[in-house]
Amino acid sequence: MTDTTLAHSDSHDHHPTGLARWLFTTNHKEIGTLYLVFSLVMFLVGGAMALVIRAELFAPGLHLVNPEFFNQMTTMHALVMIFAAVMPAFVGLANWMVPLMIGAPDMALPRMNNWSFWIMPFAFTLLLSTLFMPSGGPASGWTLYPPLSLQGGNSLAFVILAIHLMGISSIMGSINIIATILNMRAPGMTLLRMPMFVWTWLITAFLLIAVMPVLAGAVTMLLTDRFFGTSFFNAAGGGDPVLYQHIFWFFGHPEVYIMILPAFGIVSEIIPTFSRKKLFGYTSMVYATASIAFLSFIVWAHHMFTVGMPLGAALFFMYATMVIAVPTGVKIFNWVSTMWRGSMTFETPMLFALGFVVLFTIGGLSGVMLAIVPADFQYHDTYFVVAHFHYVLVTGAVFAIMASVYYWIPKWTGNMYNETLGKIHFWWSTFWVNVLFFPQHYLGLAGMPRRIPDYAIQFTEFNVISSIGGFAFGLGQLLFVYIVWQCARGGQKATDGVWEGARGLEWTVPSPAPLHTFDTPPDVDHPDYVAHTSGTS
Amino acid sequence: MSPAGQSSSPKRRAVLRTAWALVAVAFGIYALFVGRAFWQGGL
Repeated sequence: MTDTTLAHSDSHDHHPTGLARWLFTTNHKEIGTLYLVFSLVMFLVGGAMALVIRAELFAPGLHLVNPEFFNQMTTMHALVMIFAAVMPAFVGLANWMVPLMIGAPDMALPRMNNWSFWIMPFAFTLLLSTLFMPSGGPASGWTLYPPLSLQGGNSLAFVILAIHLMGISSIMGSINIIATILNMRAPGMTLLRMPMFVWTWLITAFLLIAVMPVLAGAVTMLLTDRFFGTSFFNAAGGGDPVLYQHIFWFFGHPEVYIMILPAFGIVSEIIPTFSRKKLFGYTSMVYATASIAFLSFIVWAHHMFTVGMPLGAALFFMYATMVIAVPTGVKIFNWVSTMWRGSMTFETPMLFALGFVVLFTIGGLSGVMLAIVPADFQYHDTYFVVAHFHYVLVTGAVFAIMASVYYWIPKWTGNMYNETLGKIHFWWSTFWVNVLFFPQHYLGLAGMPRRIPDYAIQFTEFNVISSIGGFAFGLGQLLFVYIVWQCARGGQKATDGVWEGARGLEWTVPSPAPLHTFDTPPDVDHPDYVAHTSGTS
Repeated sequence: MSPAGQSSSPKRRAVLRTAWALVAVAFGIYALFVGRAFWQGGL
């Protein structure tokens, strides 16, 4: 350890306390914590909405909620989970870890960083407040397809403003991440020496800047169609509702990769640590990530094959979608090769990372099935699609976030989490998440449509199983909250390195990481650092 | 390293150049989608 890392002292720091500390902070670690706590709260809010859905679907017939409220729940569950739970969690992880991983003292634009976060609670208060308005919340699905979304109440205006605010927050966050990575790296930290998590976030930030304005454009047109008499998407006025689908999915498909590329980065950090080997195929991992990002822009119409399109277009989007399996396969191959003949141990972060590799692959394979045009005509808008994207987003993105929390929380708090409880959380979640989502494949293949509060009686058994899985999985996440709370309060003290096989600059700073780190940039070619930054070959 | 020193350093200027370039890209894409649509007669 060089004295450059130990030179950070908080003694010069006159930091406000209480609420002002969190309201005015420009420190990347505190803002990272704010994002992560916000994400966890919204994960529980979105989860509660999912349980309303699963409770209603426990038996055929209408039991608990009226159909209108059910539709509001499916819509809000998706909006909250995507924009308020998964995305802020990854931004929080980027805030905490990217400066530490590249040897930067903070994010490049700290005041804008504060603003990026504090927009979020206002945006989602606005969104959730629509549930208490006379017309209720949005009920047309998270995609807000016209004409249905234009036939709802005035709360659509609040929803659109919330989406604009959230988009501004994401764009500012992305600008900050790109400016930080391109300008604030420690001397010697070349692009191809950066940790994979930093690489995946750099590419994700470019995706966000490219597609969030597209979503903003789509919902602006929706707003003027609903309130100002335009007819972009209104067929009666000469508009085209299918145009909205094209614009929305030009945003929507890259959005899927925005939620999974940082997860790939996390898994690429964890598997080498617990295999005690360097990441296999680092350079190919970088190129595969960039390839997936590029391909995400040319596959959007696979979400809307059933609207009808020329055969050539359908073939193009089908084959382009299938091509994504190639760079994704490269990643799976590299993770497996990293583990090959490694000295593996199975602490909780590794278990969640392995769960990710296996279960995300199931979601990827059902994605290839959905890419096949004639098959998609059967699967479209059924529970098969619901099963597919929940394997990608729950056992993919959410499992990776949980893996990252267990992996980095000793660095954040200075305490080890309870390993036994962590393992119970993993096995409980893994078992019940499959009980929850796997039967939904069968429901979809049998023809059960998504977004319905009632269903034909032959779908009862699989729905009962799925609902039981849902409630048990949800219960397990309360254990996760307890483990995090317990770790934040105390426990066995973590060492600076935390994990035996961990490599990277973040492990050279003390645990817990002091408020200010790398005030003097580390020399990554110094012998004390070189072992932590030579993971590229 | 004082804040005043930071604000005029080449690194600070590079950060701001990067940030403004990205802001321009974001606004450009938004204008491309929504501005062009209005221009072409959505109203």
